[in-house]
Amino acid sequence: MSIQIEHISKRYGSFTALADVSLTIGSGELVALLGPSGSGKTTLLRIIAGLESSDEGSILLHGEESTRHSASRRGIGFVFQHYALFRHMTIFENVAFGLRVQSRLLRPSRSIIRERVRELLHLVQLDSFAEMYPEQLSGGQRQRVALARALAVKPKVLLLDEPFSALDAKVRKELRDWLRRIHDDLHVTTVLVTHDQEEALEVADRVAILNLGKLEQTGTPESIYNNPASPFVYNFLGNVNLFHGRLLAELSFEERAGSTERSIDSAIGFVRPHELELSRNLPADRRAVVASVLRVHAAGPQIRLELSIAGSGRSVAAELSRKQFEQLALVPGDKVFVWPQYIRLFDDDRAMSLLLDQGAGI
Amino acid sequence: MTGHRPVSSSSLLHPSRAQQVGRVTLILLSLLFLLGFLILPVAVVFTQALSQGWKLYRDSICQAYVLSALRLTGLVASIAVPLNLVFGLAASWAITRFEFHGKSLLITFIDIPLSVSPVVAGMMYVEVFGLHGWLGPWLSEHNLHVIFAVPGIVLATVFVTFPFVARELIPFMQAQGSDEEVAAVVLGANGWNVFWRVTLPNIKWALLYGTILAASRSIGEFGAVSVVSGHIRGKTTTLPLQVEMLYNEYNFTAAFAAASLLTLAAVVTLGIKKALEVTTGLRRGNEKEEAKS
Amino acid sequence: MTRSSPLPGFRLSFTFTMIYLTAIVLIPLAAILLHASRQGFMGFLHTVTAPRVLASYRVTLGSAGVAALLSAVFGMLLAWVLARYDFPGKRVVDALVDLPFALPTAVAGISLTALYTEQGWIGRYLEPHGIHVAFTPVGIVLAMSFVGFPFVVRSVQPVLEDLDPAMEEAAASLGANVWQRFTRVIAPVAFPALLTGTALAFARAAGEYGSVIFIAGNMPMKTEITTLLIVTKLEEYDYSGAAAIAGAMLALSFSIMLLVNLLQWWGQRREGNRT
Repeated sequence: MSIQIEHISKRYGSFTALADVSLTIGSGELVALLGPSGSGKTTLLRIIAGLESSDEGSILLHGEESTRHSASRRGIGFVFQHYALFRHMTIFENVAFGLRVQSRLLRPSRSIIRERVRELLHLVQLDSFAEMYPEQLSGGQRQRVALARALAVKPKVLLLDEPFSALDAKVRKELRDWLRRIHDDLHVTTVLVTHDQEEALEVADRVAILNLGKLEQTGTPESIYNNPASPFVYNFLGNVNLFHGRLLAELSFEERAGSTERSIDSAIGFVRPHELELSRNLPADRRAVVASVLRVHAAGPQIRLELSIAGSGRSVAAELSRKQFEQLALVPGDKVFVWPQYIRLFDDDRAMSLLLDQGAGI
Repeated sequence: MTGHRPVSSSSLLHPSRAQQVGRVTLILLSLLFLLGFLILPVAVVFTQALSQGWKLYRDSICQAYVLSALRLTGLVASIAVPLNLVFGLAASWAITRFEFHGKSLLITFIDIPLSVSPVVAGMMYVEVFGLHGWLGPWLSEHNLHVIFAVPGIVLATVFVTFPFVARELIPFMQAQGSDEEVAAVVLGANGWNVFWRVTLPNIKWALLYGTILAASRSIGEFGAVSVVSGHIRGKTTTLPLQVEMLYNEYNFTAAFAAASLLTLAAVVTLGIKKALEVTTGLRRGNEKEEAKS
Repeated sequence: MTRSSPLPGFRLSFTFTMIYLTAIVLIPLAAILLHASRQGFMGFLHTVTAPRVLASYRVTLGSAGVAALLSAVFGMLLAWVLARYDFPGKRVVDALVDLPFALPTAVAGISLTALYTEQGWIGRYLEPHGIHVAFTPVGIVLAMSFVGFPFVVRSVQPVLEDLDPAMEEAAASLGANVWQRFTRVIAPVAFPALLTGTALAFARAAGEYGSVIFIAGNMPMKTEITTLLIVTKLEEYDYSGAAAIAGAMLALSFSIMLLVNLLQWWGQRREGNRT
């Protein structure tokens, strides 16, 4: 079932939670609503669910105007951040709940309910836990039960509100993969709210980024990572270094500290740590900057270096593969030459985005 | 008292000899105080009641007026407590699950019976339902009696006990949060389903605790009931009033015999309360505004 | 259903609550206040300042004040011992503190009287020394303390229990001795709760009826408490007089309620709003 979000706005007193947000989610898609806290993503999810009302705009579920429908009649499944399992019911009773409270006419028979619950517990790999109580389960297990419970009533839309943020990092990764697999099996239209960009980029078909109540960008994970539409998006996805500078007529970019070229505008330039090149020797045809190594973080697959740029003293992060690092054999205090492979420029806040490939010097 | 570690277990504060002596002294002082102030009165009730032998004790209790007072007390409690239970549930549902203006005013109103003198409480109902009260003329026209009759006693008892269930439930339901209930709604449950299947099982201990408090109070209320009852022996005397009557007639043994029943009920109440606190970890609710009267 | 919550049943529960409250509390309350005001301000003042009434205030408020202080002392003692020490029978002691709440006031009244009359278990030791408790203001104070002290205990005990031992340990490690730890770390936190409890004990004592009238002697101008005066006036069919005095007592109750709320607000502010 598709979801159409049209011009949704929501205010709490003087605080604007959502400002004219429009988004279409296709049937069977898994869309992530990504953003920092306060961006409005949870509010939007709850409005889709019918748990909160919008001040303006409408929600259409499968083409049908649903803004006035109550939460219990929208045919949605909701998974809460803190599970919200019924603490005094067994796992079996939790999952069966949605089926048991259906009206007499629609309610399936006891044996059908039992069958369905067993099926779902098998899907979430918690078969033997049926007679246990929520407090006996770990966080990850509880969230799986919550998912099974939501799926029991065959919802047409599945909504998840930061479902993994209360869990350990390792469990989070496991559940993430597992959610993707379940989605591939069941093809239920799914909307996932998260503040973890890694999660969104790995799991979703499409990502919608929100900031301060506005929709910044939507697209596939690849497209928004490679073509961010604004500094905010760029900053939010992946580590960045930030450089302020002036845009020169010949499209060469001088860092503010010491430029004698004529400048036109000021711009912001972004470089990702792994897009910086380092060398012990000054490169021939390139403008590079001298920096000294402050710190080396060698834990993990990539080596992360903190550098201090000579002159301005500003610190900058660079990322190298182990092989590159071993070739350079750098220790704190060493001097290196640094230049960007790619630099992405933004004029003012957004709009223009130029990709400068080499040729540029800091 | 979950997770509370008595200070005496802290090793850094390991007490010196003098401190240990001080500690023991304080404990002994409190026990002495308790003995003299609380235990002796309870003991006196029983010794006085039994001072003329077991047979007289039994006869006093089985005497007609005492029995009817017992019946009336039971009747009043069995009406007042369920009514206040329903009120407590309704009030805490409205207060803890929704946002609206005037919430703290509402909570203040609920606390009113706790700060009003019981005699004034009784008077309030006399003002409304008494012969010269607002509804007095209308009631006598229709030959209905509230004051100096059972309905008045029920009303006065309802007044002094209705905060108890609400005041236990409100902080409890507030702390529990409404996530489970919202989840139930999304899963398609209607109002009653949410209430019976999700809310009620989660609050059952707090509900029981509040009900015990309310029941204990409805049995023992004296001042308010005294004002509205008219003291008509056999008709409008509850057990506490009967105790007073017997005492004022210098029938001390019988008075204490009746009092012993009430004392037993009080002790049992304390026992159940403590048992609930210990087994379910319930704190005593809002002590800062505990039952007045 | 209010717009701000997906849960059902607001209208039903709210309406029921309001109707119940109005019928049981607000209308009767209004009835007394209206009646009291019907005599006009001067009439009201005249009634509530009649000599006998004034005498009853002296007795009631005076005794309540002393009782509140006694409650504060013993209540503090018990709260301290219960919150900070472990000893055999602690649970029983803790349960017993609630006895004055659970015991009907009439029962408390007659048993206290029985204890302190000449033939009573305690009275027989006091009377020969000229210490008269029963039928004197001393008895009134005693009965009022009986019903008042649990308020102090139950106000202070949770606050002491919630005190983080780490705070005292930190103070000790910084060199504070026992007395300093008490006055600088514990007392500031416990004090608002102590005040609250004492205010509640006072309010309860002033409005008390059943436990006092048996031991009091009830002589007008000497040992007659205000609540008894109201009852007497009712029995004499002086409804206006009763209503006026009741109105005055209500004013007192509400002032204390206000005071307690302010104290609690003050206490929360000092703790950075822990509730």
